[in-house]
Amino acid sequence: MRSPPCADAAERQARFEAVYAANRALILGYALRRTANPDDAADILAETFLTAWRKLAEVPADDDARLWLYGVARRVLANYYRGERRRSALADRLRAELATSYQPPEYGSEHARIASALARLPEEQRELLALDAWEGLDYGQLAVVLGCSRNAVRIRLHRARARLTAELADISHRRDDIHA
Amino acid sequence: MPDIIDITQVAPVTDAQAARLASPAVFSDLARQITASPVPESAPRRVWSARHARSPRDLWSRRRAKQRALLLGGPLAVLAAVAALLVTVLTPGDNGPDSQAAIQAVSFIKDNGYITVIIRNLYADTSWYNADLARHHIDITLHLAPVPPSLVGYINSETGSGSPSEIKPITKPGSCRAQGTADCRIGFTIPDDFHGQVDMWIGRPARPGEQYQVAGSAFNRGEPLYGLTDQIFEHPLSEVLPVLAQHHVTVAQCREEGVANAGSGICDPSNMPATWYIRDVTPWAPNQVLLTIDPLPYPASGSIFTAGEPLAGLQDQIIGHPVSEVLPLFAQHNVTVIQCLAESADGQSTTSCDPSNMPATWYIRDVSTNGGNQVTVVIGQEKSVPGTGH
Repeated sequence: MRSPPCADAAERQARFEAVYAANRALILGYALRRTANPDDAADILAETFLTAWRKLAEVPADDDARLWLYGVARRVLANYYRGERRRSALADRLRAELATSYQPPEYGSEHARIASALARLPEEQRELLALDAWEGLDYGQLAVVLGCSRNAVRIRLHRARARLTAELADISHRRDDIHA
Repeated sequence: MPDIIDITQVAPVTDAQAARLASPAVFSDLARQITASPVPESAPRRVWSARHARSPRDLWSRRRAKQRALLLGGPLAVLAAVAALLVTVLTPGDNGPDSQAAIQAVSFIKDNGYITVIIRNLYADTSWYNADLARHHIDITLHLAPVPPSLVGYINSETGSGSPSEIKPITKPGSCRAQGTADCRIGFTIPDDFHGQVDMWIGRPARPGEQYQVAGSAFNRGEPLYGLTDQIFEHPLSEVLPVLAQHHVTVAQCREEGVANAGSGICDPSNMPATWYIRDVTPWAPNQVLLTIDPLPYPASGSIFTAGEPLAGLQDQIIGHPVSEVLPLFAQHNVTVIQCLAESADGQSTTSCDPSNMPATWYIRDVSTNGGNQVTVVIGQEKSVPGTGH
């Protein structure tokens, strides 16, 4: 069956622009926090919002839009990790600008230790901790983005924190061994 | 309860900083370009709500489910139509889209209100197919993508207008795995009054060394590593690499997991740390894979029965049990069968079956996840393939 002609193209465009304006920095931040490469971050932003444009009817209202977009960005990012990088022509200008404006952080020794421990966690645990701390999602929101129950979030977060603590302790021990 | 380590301080960038990394003009330019992109008119209008969403993966797997349904749901019988009418118009020319060779690259069979389009030369210039499709007033732009064996014949349609469900793919499972197999048929049927506009990608066998455009899973049926997850995940590379070699699979690319915040993540396939583990294996080109490696072991992925998956721990109640017993179990765990494959008695070939009408007395031989709660089920008339215990 054919869909009715899109009589509300302007309305559609306005809705997309509202979602985009409210979330573009959040999704760019999300992408930059997970890939050191601003080129990839530009593409992830472009692909995420291209999906949102194509599936605008599925994008929920209000703050839930952000969770939906995180879910999409997460999947796009997973494809990037698997090597399926697509350079989107849409992101050309953004890529060029980020290449000059984005500077990767330089960590002091304590922060480098935490970053290193975090990088050693399995991806699921790292992502859970990041969504909790960096995106500031609560249990309910984490459950939505990760597609599991609040209870599962609680348990997984507990385990991830324990693992991070263990990784940090492990790094400290190894450092002590070296210094001993 | 472990002490909570504050990782906010190691966030490479905050949202506020990200907002300032690009100018409003560049952000607006991206929005303009996105909104100038075509929107599939017949895209599903299902409204997502946080309360109802099971998983963001579901949002993606819905499309995949549709593609898979398209892939194997086509009425193969159309092919056998004896009264088929060949309507190709022969217009001899040189080597262009009107040439004899170009016209013979595709055949059109009109029968019973449908047009069956068979791609006869999977490697021919796609402008030939598209010129021929246009001659038949079919507004389909065809692209052929090199894919791994398990995805040959896989169809992905993006509709500018019209309903993609009216397009039924045709593949004979397994027949296209070896290059140049005479039996290999790839194509689709559409109603002869189809008026939609469609961009269609069809998976074709890759040439030796040709990089895949769509990767799929290295562990799918038909792939060189099918059935080997137990020998690959949770084993160090020193043990895994000989297994790959034994199956004539070489590593074309290497990626490191766990360094996304610290480096490029690209590693040297000829010099991988022997004590690391496999995180993921992605088909790269025929008999070549991309390995994602990790300093820590990672449990086998892709099994719907592993912990955290919808059917965790239920393998013994499903594999080898009749369909009639298993379907209620699926329903109980909100698992939907989106693809059904019927395996032959000797386990050497499969044909598609209707997921909504599986024979109750047949047995479940395999269940694999398609993402979220959607699964592909392999059924057989006997409990297992004789002599294999599979």
